[in-house]
Amino acid sequence: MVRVIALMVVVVLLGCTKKELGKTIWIYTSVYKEVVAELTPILEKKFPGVKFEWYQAGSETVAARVNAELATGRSKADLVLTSDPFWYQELAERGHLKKWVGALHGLKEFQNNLGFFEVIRLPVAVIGFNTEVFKTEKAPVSWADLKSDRFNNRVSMGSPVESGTAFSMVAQLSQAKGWDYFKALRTNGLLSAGGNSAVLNRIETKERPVGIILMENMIEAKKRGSPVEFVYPSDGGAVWVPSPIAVMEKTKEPEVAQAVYEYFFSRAVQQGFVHGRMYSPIFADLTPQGGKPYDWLFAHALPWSTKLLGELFTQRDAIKRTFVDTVMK
Amino acid sequence: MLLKSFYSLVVVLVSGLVLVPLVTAAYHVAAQPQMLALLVDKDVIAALVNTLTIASAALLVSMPVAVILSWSVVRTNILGRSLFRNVLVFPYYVPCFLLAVSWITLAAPRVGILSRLFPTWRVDLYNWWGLVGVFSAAYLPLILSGLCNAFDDFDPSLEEAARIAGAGPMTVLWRITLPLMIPVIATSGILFFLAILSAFGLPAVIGTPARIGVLTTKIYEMVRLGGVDGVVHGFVLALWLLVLTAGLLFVGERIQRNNRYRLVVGKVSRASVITLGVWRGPLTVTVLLATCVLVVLPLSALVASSFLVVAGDFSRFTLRNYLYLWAMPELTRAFLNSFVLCLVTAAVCSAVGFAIGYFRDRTQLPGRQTLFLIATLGYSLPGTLIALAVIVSYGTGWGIESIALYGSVVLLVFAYAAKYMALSAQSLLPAIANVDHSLDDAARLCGATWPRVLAQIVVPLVRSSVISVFVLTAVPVFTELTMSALLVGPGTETVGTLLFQLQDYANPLSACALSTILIALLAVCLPLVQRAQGRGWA
Repeated sequence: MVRVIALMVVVVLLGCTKKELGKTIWIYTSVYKEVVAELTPILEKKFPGVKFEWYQAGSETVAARVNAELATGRSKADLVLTSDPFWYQELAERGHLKKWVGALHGLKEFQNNLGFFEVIRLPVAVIGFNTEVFKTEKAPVSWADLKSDRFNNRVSMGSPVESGTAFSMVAQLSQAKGWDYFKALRTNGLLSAGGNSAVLNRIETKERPVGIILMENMIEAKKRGSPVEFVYPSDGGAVWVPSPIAVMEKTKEPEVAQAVYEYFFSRAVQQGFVHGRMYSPIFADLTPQGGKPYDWLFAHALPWSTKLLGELFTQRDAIKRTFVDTVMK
Repeated sequence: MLLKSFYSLVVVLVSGLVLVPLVTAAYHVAAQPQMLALLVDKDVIAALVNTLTIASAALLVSMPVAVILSWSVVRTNILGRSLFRNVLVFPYYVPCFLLAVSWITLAAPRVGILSRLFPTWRVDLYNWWGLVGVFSAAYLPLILSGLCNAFDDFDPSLEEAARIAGAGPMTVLWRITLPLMIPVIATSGILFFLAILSAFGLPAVIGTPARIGVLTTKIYEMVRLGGVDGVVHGFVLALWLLVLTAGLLFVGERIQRNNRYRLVVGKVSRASVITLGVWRGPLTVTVLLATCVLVVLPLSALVASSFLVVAGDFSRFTLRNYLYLWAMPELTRAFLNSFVLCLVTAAVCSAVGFAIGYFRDRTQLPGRQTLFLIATLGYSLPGTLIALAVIVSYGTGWGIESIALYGSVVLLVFAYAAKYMALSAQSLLPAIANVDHSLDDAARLCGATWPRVLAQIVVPLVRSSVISVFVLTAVPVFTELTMSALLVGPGTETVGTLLFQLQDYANPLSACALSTILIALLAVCLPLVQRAQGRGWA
């Protein structure tokens, strides 16, 4: 009896799986749906006969899924395209990423020196605020401003233990301004919870009318009619959130995957990211609508380098722990 | 023979759905035993203490309220009692995550609607009591629906005997009714506790700003940003939840054993309604107030938010959030997928849950208690973890690509069933146990075989509970967020993933719009279900 049942179960399982013909490329990504919708036809035109399947979710959800898949041996993803460079560093160190043998792309600051992953798009974090609570002349103009009395219990940011972009912000701000900066913010009532959409929600509902948040969220909200505005702080114009792309080591279609990887650096695809209000690390002339030009930003933003990535990566757990002890308790 | 075959089928199903993912997860933990040290980490212990105190406080707050409310709407003649009953249970069907968001809209410090209406009250839900309050309100329907069903199935002859012997209505309630209800109170209390243990969305949006961490938020942090080892760290922390679940189930077992009453003995079909006299008015008002606070307030905040241009700004309204939904090409597909998935899952869960309860109560088959225990384990685990365990065990087909279930809807059914089977087993066991054996014996004496006894005696008598379990499983599965978010592939989007995406990062107000649509759908569908349920007794 048990054998019959076991056989039945196997038959059912077999019947449920799809047999896929032709080449399929799985891309796991955290870019917004609108960007995926813009990119898919471009990719399909460039690679006729290849089927592109997307798994789209927040960066951390993608990472959790890939990590679980890797624990069983292989991830179904051929390419990953999310926003947490530290996770890529770890994947590379553990041998889960395929090395790119061709010439590296774009600016040296944003390359992984061993070629396992490269930065493909550049979201930036700025200071956003609600204009109904703080008129432009009363609004914060610098990172240091957030420590002032005027913003007591008014500021929020994402949580570095929940959101990869928030971690990038914390890692670089703590590096540039020191932990004393976050200590002062905590004394001033800084709230750290959720991801970017939570911060936006708190700005819009005035629960926390000021926030450290991605520029793309602010531009999108403004377009929707929200009374929000953002500034590039005078003491470090923005925080880069360098977002990589990589080919998985165990991809079934290494040639196609690498060709797709290469194509992501083309102007056509980069344009898609810039439409999503991110910067392009390749084409400095592409400026997201509503943002300052790349050159200005590059000159003013907190410095980023591959070396810095390596340094911050080794301190990753310490940064999280210090932040939790400093701000979240 | 037939009975044994069925039994082995159920054993295989339950092991496949719950045991295999758990064992696979355990295998990954065992490969790195040094990680077990995490269990006694300072922060983890603090989270454990928070989890326990919050869940206990919420239970202490909710249980008396639930007992009074369910008794009032089922057993007394207060005005509009069936309407109250339906409305009070309703929030169960709204994803807790969104209920929490609507409570924030109401009671956030300074800017919440209540905070603005009553500035002197200093309303602030970002603290320990806020968390307990919202938990109690959000999960109260879980107890309520169990208690209401039990009051429905109640054999009134004992109460009538007490009345004839001269006891007043309150004495009957206190000395006869409540003691008889202890097994049901215990199982619903345990379900409530388990649900809070595994709850994630609510403590994440209210606990984190209040700087109160619980086990699930801790696990979530590990899994999301813990790097490649994060998954295993998550599995390790889940051990606490498993221990707590096993402990609770043990307690439940003891209570069941010490209270072996059979409430349904086949003599009378319907419990009598108590005529309240002068107390009718005050009790009606009390129930009305409770309904307003627990249901009307949060749901109206949710519905109102769906029409806002800007979150929190109640001066400008728009239909844009609905148009945004309408323009999403995956909306129809998501509804279809979720519909099929929830029916399949609910059918599997009710059938298996019924079987487990039946084997447990009516047979002497070996291992029936263990089976029941295993089936219940999934409920206390956070969805994220179940999803990951399912991926780890079935996602990649143990190296054989053709049986990898990855991205297939089957994986979703596996995860849903692993989580919700506990609900059906826990709710159907007392229902089956309440049907007195004498009914079976009578049928057997008349020559009926056991399948016939099952089909013509037991099933019809617990029909109302089975339908309610089916609905209690189907509706949350329809909107399930956390597991689905990890498991969907292209083309298999569900209503839950759509909600999650909208809420988590695309457009939170459209998430309110989608919930409003769901609420409207449920408001139409649930009364139909209720009618189907009622007919079994007519």
